[in-house]
Amino acid sequence: MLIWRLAWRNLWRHRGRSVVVGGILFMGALLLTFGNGVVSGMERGLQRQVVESFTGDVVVASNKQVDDNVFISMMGKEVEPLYRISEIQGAVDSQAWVEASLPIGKNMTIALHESEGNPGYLFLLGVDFKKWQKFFPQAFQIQGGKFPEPGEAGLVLPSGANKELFQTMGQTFLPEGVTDTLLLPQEARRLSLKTVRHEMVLMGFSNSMSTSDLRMKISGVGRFRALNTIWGHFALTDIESYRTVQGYLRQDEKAVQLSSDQQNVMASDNLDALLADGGVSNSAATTSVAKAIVPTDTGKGSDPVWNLMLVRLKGEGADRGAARLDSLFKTHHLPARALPWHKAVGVIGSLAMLIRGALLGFVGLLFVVAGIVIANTLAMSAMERTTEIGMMRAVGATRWFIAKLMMAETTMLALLFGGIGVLLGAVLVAVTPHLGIQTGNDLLQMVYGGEVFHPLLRPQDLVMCFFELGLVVALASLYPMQLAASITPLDAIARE
Amino acid sequence: MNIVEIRNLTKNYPLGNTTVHALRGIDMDIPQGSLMSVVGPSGSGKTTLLNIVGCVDTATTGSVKVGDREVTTLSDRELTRLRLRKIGFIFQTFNLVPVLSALENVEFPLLLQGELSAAKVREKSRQLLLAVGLLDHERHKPAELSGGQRQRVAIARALVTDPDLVLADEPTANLDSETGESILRLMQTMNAERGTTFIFSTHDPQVLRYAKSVVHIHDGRLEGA
Repeated sequence: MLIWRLAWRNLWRHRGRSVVVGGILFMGALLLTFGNGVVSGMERGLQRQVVESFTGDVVVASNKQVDDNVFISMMGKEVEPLYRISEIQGAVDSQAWVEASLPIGKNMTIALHESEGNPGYLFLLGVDFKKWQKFFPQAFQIQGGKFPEPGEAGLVLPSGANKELFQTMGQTFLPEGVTDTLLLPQEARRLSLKTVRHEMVLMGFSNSMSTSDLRMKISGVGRFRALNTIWGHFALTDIESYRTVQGYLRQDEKAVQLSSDQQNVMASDNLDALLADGGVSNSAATTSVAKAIVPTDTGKGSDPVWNLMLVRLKGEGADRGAARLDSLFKTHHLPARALPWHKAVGVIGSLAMLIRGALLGFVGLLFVVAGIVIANTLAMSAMERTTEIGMMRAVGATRWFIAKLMMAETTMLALLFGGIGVLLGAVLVAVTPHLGIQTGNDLLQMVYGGEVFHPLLRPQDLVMCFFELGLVVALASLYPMQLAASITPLDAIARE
Repeated sequence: MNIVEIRNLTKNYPLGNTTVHALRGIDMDIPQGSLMSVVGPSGSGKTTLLNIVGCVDTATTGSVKVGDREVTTLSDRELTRLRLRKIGFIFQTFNLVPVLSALENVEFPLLLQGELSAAKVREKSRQLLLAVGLLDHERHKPAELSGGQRQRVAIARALVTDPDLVLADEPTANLDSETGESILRLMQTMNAERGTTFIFSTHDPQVLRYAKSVVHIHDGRLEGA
């Protein structure tokens, strides 16, 4: 009680110094709180924009998959086929901390130009559309056309892919019957709707040389609600068409008797003739050709082949969840390995971690500087009070008493000014989303936590702010405490 | 019985490349209940002597006993404890805690001891303030008191723990003669009434008449007792 009374009165007596140190603490706490809010908002945004829109928390790939980066590999490096999916999914789904899982196909495809012109490139996701929409209910906004119905073949093109295809191929795509030119890339809107194509010929892109080409109708166009510039490179197609394009055939699909016409086609080495109008007429015909050409040895019984399985967790972090799944696969001898989402998206995940690290680094640096200034001010204060402290020591105050007195003064300042800073920072975090600060830039969207700048403070973040504030104050007080406690009565007498 | 026994006490200070011999072999005994004045010119070593007896400075060589404790071998913690329980200080510039009232300043050493209840601490401190004639100023801060009043508060604070020994380094140096004499009379009264040993240093011959005994010190040596 004596210490707190002394501390409070000392702060009041040295009001100028208290305001200086308090002001630093206030600013530090304010920026720390807001910074933590931005980091938390970013984490939530990444969760929403990446995990809840595209990857899930954990991505399961084949154990033969060498690169962790299975989504955004340069030049579309092939993602290994994932076998025994029933067993893998069964094992994964049986875990209480797994919320849901979704197998998908993912690889590179080439969009062939049907007349003279350059081909385009697409990342292709093969999905069961119903299940994909259930897994990512808010991820994709259809702006024209629709998702293919179950059993229906079709391609859904995001606006990013459409734009890129126009730039590389000079062709643009819309579903049949959709005439809204606003859905076309901006550069293509001046073109006649007659030039818009409603089908696309895709050819798989893999090292196995077992791929085939397939004419597909454009079922829908739209946009990913988050990070569309990035995810917009990924077109969606039904899984059967995907497997056809990639040449993923089951054992029972390999042995196919070719008709004489088909044998003639096989005998032809004129690719242009195959690609000309009528050369690739429909998916069924092409499937037959594909089966016949080079059936990839992907057959493992009747289990269909996929590339990845996305896993959503509940109450478990991505890194730990991936490690637990890896352990599960080893135990069950399953040919799979698990990747946390940030590893699976390569540079995007690294960038996200980098931005998060930079923000945390900024906040940390801020507090190091604040800590140094506070330590210096308190040390000066201790030296100025040599007579007073030395006198207290002379009448019987221990070094520990003096140290506690200094700590009490700093604690009071931290609680008062730092507390106000934290509260004001929390108010700022709460108000900021209502200001409607927007960005269309994907990188900034990561920082903003979405299209609108939306910092976020959870109760645990507030606790963390107070903890960090306390830590900085404690560290900044160490040297002044030690300095004050080392003042002797003789130092005070010498000053007289 | 001696409250202080000093044998062959020396104190040297390094000063650049030279050594200052502040005390050059002091031997003295101070009986309990003394009212002793240490007299000498500036730089004679009287403050150093008081500091060592008061356990705020250490001897270079020799022995110093306060009560029955040899203080030259004590740790900082033990010296602090000794100062808190056995020794009272009155400084030249009335060093009170500026943010505490007169009463709270007197309470301060008792609160550090932490042995009495808050009520007892307050009661005892008020008695001391009454004894030094400042009970009606108990709520005043040091800045609101005159120099003489502050020194009276310092005396009350020095006495509140019932110490065996009170050390006062030139307690009247910054007071006018009238106030200074009133302070010395107060010390004289306290010595007589409580039997507390007072040792005060001065270079003012006017104040010597208040001392029961006088020790002269010059160039770090005692000249007579």
